[in-house]
Amino acid sequence: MNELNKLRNEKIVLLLLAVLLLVNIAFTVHFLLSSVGEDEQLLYAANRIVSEDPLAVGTRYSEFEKQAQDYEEAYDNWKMDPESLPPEPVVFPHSYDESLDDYDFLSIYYQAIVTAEERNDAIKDLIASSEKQLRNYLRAGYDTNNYSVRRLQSYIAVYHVADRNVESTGSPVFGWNEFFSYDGVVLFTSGAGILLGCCLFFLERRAGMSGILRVSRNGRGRLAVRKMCFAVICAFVLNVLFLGSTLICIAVVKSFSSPFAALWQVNGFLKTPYGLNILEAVLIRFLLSSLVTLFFIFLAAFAETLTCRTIPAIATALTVFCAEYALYESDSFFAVFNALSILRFKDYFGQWKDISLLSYALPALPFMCLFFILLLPFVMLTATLWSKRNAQGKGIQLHFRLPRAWHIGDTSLFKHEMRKVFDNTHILLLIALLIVNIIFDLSLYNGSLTFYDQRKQMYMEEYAALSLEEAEETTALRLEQYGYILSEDTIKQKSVEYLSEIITRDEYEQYLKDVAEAESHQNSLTAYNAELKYLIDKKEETGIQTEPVMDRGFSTIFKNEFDILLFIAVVLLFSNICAREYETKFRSIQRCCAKGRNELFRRKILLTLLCAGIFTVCSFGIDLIYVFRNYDMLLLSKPLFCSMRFASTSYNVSFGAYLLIVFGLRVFGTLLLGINVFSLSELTRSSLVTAFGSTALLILCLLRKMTVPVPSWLDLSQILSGDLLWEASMKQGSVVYIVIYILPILLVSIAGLFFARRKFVN
Amino acid sequence: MKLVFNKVSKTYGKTKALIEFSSELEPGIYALLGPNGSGKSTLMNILTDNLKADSGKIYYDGEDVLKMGVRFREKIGFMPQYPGMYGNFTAEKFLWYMSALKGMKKEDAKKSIPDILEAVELSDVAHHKIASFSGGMKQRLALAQAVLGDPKVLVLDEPTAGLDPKQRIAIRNYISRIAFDKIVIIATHVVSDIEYIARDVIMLKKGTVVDSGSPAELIAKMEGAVYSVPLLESEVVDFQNKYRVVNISKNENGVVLRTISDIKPTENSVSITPNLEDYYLYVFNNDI
Repeated sequence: MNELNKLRNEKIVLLLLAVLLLVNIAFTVHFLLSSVGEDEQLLYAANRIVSEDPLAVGTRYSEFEKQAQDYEEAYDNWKMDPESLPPEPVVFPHSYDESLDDYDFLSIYYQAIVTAEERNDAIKDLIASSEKQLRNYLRAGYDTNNYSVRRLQSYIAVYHVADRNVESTGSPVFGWNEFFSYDGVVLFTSGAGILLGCCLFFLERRAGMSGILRVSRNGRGRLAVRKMCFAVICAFVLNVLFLGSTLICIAVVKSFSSPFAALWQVNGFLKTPYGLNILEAVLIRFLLSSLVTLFFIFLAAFAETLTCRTIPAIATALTVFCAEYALYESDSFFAVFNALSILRFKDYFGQWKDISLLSYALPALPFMCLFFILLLPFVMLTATLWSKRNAQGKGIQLHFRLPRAWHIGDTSLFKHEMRKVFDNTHILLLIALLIVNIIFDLSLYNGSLTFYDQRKQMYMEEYAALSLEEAEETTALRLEQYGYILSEDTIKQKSVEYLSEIITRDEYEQYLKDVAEAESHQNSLTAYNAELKYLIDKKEETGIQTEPVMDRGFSTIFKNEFDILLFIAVVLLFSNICAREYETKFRSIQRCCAKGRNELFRRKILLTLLCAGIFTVCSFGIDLIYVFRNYDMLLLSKPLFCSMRFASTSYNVSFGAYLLIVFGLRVFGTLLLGINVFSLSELTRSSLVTAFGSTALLILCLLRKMTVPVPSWLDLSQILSGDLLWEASMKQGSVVYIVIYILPILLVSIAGLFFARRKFVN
Repeated sequence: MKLVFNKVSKTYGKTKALIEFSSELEPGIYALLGPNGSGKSTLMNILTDNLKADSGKIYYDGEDVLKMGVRFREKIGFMPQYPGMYGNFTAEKFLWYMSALKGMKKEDAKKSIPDILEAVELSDVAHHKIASFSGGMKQRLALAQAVLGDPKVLVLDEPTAGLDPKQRIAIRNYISRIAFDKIVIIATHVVSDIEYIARDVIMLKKGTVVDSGSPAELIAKMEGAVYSVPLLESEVVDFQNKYRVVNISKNENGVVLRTISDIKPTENSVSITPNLEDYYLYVFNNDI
């Protein structure tokens, strides 16, 4: 209760939580309105109006079908005898939306029902294919202790159990499809968890209570236990709030069907091995989500007690979150140690999922949950012990000291401000971010080529001496030959010739080799031929010499995403650039110094811009080093439209120019981010609020990645990525698009800076 | 050099923190005395332009300080109450940073920083991080940054809070030594700190000046109103209910009470020499 009271007095934290909740609601609604197809929307509309039992509608429709059949017979008879009275047409009695056609509605309605037969078929198919695969393995001499064999055995055993007692409610599932598809909520629960985690020990340290608590009777062990319990309650409450708000949104916008229907009736769960109903699945999702939230609460608390500062704690937690998010889809063994993976509900409940441990196929989810359940008390205990040991709030002592000349004997305000920003903790975190960046780059720019790229490289070398037209003709001819070799007639003819001993075995084997080669080359050569045709057309259209290019490196570096680590670095360093002075109450001294207002403001903003620019150059530079090392990047002077990726470009620029423009846009985007973080830091005078406010950008980008349709004008990550904006502009055929897109955020940034300056100086 | 406050007022919501404060200050030490919430810190924050006054002006040599802007800030040194400092800075680094903020020349800073650190007895720990400093050390460092750059107006809010008696005397003497060509304004509760060094004392109560004058003038007002009263220990409680007791000390016969009273409290009471603290308690009796 006391812990809750401490939190209740933190208006800013509560406000941020409320904002996160509201954003979650807004995005749930947006997701619901934009992710459902027209058919489904009709179905929902109808479902709202149908007042009777769906099964009764079906029965009524069967009766109507019989009547309609009778009517058609009567109508045919009437045509034979037109002098008799025509039969009365049969009308399906409406009890739902008049605008909805009877037949359309019912066909949509029945399509949406997953029947027990479908489920049984799917499970039987799975068992049959697994048994076949197992037989193949055993025939091939696989040992029964082999992981692949064990995996299939457990697979078959699990699905044999799942095969029993399958019943369908006979009605479609409403609302639950959306609930299990909307992953965006994890961002908000994790964000709220990080926020609360930062406050867990921070509030009492800031109030100078740590020392007092330490000497109190219940201020050590019991307090630690209470804090852990409070964190658990917080995790549950946050998930009740966030998942609850998502459920309420769906209920209001779409409505829900019965929660007692089987889980396999929900989209993506047809092959679930678990005999759960929807309600049970919702409860399990809630528990899993609470576990992940708890992990982030503990992680943030741990980082906060180590550094005794909220911003490095947020940065650490966000870095872990981003690293985990980057590996969200990973299925490697290490995914077990990724807390976010637990929330891949469809993956873990949609079908049987296991992990390999010492050649045993263990159920993946219980293993992962067990790992984190065991890890959490350890993390929290360490955090609590450190918090108690570190009652004076000095943070972890970093035993490296910069040369004395670094901070002594200089009256340059700019240099002093720079030294303040690059303190030991920040330098260490920057190094950590740099290492994470290099690790990401190692996996991203590994020089691997797709199958088509390898073939393309081969064709380019093969036809290097030929002109575009000659190469196109040659490839077309070669494709014709492949077409002949692969035609069914030729295959039959060759078989007959071989069986009739018209051709020898060697000749037939040569033909089979030709078939194999033709099969392997046909698709890639077709694609290459299409590319050559495109290049010839482009050459004729523009009059500019074109040629095939290897653009894999180029496509990899411009992957249409902004650099999350760069984002974290800017937010980490500049969230407190102004707020820190207010938080330490030092601003009153600065304000009455000769250079403490205008001059200081100019130095601080200059420092922010300079660092943001340098960080972008470094981040982009590292990417470039990897790309130039691992890929063929000899295309810089060639026209951009030589790559089919830029087929729609209406500008005549080279790859090199494109690189520079996108780089310029990225620098510009990061500078804008820096300005906004700076302004927020001054306007809110709280580094915590600034960090979370700035992270709103990150949430938008991550939501977009999670296929939540974020409106493009809201997704400021486009400016940060640069290439996405430039590509859109090229498709529109005008740079005005860039200006229009940038203008609102530019104006907001300038206005923010203006107000920040006014507040800082006056 | 003259600093003039002309009817300066400030209100927080419905609370009047400062009501038409007026005063003229010339070089010397001025003490602002008053209980918590009397408006001392508000006045200092207005002078340093950390707070905007609702009405009234402050003039430095006849010029509005707000209009002077940077020119006035070049002349001012401020030590706020409970100042925050950067824990990861060393004392020396912090003063170099302050010299940059004050726009000092490198040579001047190089010369004055060691002297000031010496004066506030922080030379030994000049290279230690501020996070490892005690409250008293931080207080002395805050004073050091205020006097750095030789400001003509020195504004000190509770400069001796958290210092031990030896340090208090040292700091008091240091302030007294540097104050001859400066206007030094000290806000404090500790009357003894300013009793012997202040040129004038301004007593504030609920935002208004209740009295002002030199310490000698103010003490003179208490002449014949302070008594030493010997009592038995059992009589103390009853006596305290009737009279204003400033101090209680024990002796072999019982206790001796230092008492403020307009009349002689008991037959055996002895009139004694008053001090500024007696007057302070006399004026603010109901507020403390």
